[in-house]
Amino acid sequence: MKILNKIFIILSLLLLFANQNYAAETDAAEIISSLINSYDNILVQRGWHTTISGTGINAHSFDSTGKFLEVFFSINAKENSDILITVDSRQNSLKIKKTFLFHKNDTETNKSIEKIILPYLISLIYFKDQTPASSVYHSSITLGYYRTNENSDIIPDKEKGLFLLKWKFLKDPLKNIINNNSTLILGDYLDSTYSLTLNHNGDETFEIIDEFDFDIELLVYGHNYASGTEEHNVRNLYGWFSNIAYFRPYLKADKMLWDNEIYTDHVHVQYCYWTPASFIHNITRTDNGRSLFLSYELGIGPSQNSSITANGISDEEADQYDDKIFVSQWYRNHGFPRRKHNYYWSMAVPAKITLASDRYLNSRVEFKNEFYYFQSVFSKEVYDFYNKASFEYGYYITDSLIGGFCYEYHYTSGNSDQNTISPNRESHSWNRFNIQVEMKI
Amino acid sequence: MKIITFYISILLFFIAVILSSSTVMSAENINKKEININLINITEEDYINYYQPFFFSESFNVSRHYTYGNEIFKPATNTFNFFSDKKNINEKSYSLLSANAVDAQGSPFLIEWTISDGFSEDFRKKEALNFTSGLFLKSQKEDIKSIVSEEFQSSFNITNLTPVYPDEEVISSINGYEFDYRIKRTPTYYAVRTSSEILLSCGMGVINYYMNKYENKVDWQYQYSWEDAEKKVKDGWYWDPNNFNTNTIYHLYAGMAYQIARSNNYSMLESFAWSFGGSFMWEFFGEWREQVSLNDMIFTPMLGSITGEALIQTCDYIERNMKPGLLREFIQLAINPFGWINRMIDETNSGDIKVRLIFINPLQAAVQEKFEEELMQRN
Repeated sequence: MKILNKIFIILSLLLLFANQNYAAETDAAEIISSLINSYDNILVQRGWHTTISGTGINAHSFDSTGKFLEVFFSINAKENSDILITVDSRQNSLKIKKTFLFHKNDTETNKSIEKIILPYLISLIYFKDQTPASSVYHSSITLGYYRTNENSDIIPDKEKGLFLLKWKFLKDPLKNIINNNSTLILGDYLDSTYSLTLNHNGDETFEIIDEFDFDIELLVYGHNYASGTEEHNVRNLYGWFSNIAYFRPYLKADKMLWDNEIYTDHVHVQYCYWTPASFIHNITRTDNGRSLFLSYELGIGPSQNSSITANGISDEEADQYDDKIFVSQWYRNHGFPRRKHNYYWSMAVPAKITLASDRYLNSRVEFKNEFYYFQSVFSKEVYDFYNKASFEYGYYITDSLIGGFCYEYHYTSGNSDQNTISPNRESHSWNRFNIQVEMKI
Repeated sequence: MKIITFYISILLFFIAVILSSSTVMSAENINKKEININLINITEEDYINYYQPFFFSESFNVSRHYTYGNEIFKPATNTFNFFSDKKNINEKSYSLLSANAVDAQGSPFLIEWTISDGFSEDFRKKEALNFTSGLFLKSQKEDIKSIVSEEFQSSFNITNLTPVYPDEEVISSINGYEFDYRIKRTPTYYAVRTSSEILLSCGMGVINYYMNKYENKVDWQYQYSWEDAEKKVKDGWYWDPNNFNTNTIYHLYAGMAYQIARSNNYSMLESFAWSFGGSFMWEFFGEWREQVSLNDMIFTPMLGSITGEALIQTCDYIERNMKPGLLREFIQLAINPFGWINRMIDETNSGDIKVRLIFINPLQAAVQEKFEEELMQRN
């Protein structure tokens, strides 16, 4: 009987301890899980992208000025009579460790832990690690002088050249971050180019600022993957972009104008498109400061563009030119003879590829091909395409100044339907040679 | 007899009603908490203007005490102490507002506000008092640490939070917090400001539209009548044959609604929705006499949003890379006019507000009190 009593007492004690241990483990797990969930909610509410992994969170965001912020924290608890919690955190490259100790007999342990640790976790999103502002934006200004040959001869022979002003502006907060695996969302990346041709012979503002084009690529959803060391690394950035592009060249050849005498500023190659869906993939490989770059892009979206098939039409012919595809007669009927236009509404399919090397032989070399296909939304038979192939060479005069040249070959071709009086098929090519100086700012 | 019984019962009923209501009233009086407010360097006029609106409560019987001096009263139960002063930091004038109280669990705490003087300082002070009084009133029911922890989780006005821990390797308690307080208006305020600014820009567009009436009237198809309004809706949309640049570059400016919304704290997607709404309003009301243009409905918000975002980022780039000065302000005004105006309004309202919230250790306070008592007795 006594033995039975002893066994019973021992078993009871064992059960009691076992229960206590079990309860203790549950407590620590619950505390950590509750902290992680609370912190995750706070981060998400503040626009951070979070990934919960076990007993930690990896989160990244871009601050109001676009600077990349990354927070990682993991939490571990040990317990006997007390609970010892260690928080390992990292703000970009700055590592911080903090240890907290709580007495387990406190009836409100969970609450007091949250009250003390959570403000610390919140404070991690306000960065003490001040990375330089220049890491977010990258921009350059190009000043150039060019001559155009408005036919297919290779050597440009235009007597009077024009000045070129180009501005490249890139928002890429992850450009200098070597090890990174992040999902990017709307606005995390933006690439844009704006160029302007200045005609010194022009009298009015819009004769001086003659040619204007821009191309803006805005990331909607994508991924950045970079790995390697500071000396050797590879970066892949790809995703869904939404782009806007506008192009109106300065060309004076008869073939390129609606009517040479009457409407001289209206060229047959011009477009403005918006691609709600574009896929862009940029690959950069860096070796000891030198880099190789490959980029390709394919998109689709609505556009407004002119057609080469409406060229060489006289004012009298334009009177007869009442076509839904090429808007002209409509204004004439309403008493506005000056408002003649050559454009149609279409779906644009831009496809671009770029190959570049940087800092090899202290130079930068770039090959680029841009192809645009425009399909009219009113007639299946009406379409145009425009192709621009370019080769650019630049030599680093200083670290931020590049002097060089660029050669561009443009080709456009169009097809109209049976309803128009203009030729059904037309094509034209021209080329341009730029001497330019690019300055990184 | 029946009548007498009836009247007696009515009389008894009224007596019962009066008695019960007086019991409720007296119970209310009993339940009303007595609160003392000590105001140091604060005039009665200031109290009425700034403090009273926050402490007007049916749950409290408030008694006030005014005094002048350099030191704040010690925290005590059922007492709110306020201290006001001025100070200069880096040749800039600041208002100092300190306040302390004791929470429902008997723990004292102190909150200190350093508020920049200048334009809209009244607004900043009221915001500080609003926050402080809210904290005080809640602290009479809950412990202060829980209230503050919840505030940090939910408030978007608090930034640069730094918890202040004891100088120990292993931390078991928290001494307080330091943070910046940025005034953010209510969502209603931003919605009203965004709508007003979009209406203003559309109004400017309408003026420009009628100044070029001769050219624009070629597109007019409707009169100002209900019949034509109905016809306009029924006619639906079409691809308009306007000038190439009217349909592209000029509509980029019309998409400015995106920039307006962005500068009013809206996200990119929300701002796109505002831009789309602005474009819809312009097509239906701004260009009332024209048929709705499908291409304008696509290109205005899209061109406006994507180029608008590029311009906003450009403004930020300029802000961070150009030296402050007139040229920088002018460029920003030209690129993002409403963004610049809204930034000026917000900056002047928000100013510079730094806050320190500390939990006074009761043990430490008791030791100090005892030490002071002993010192008094010796003297």
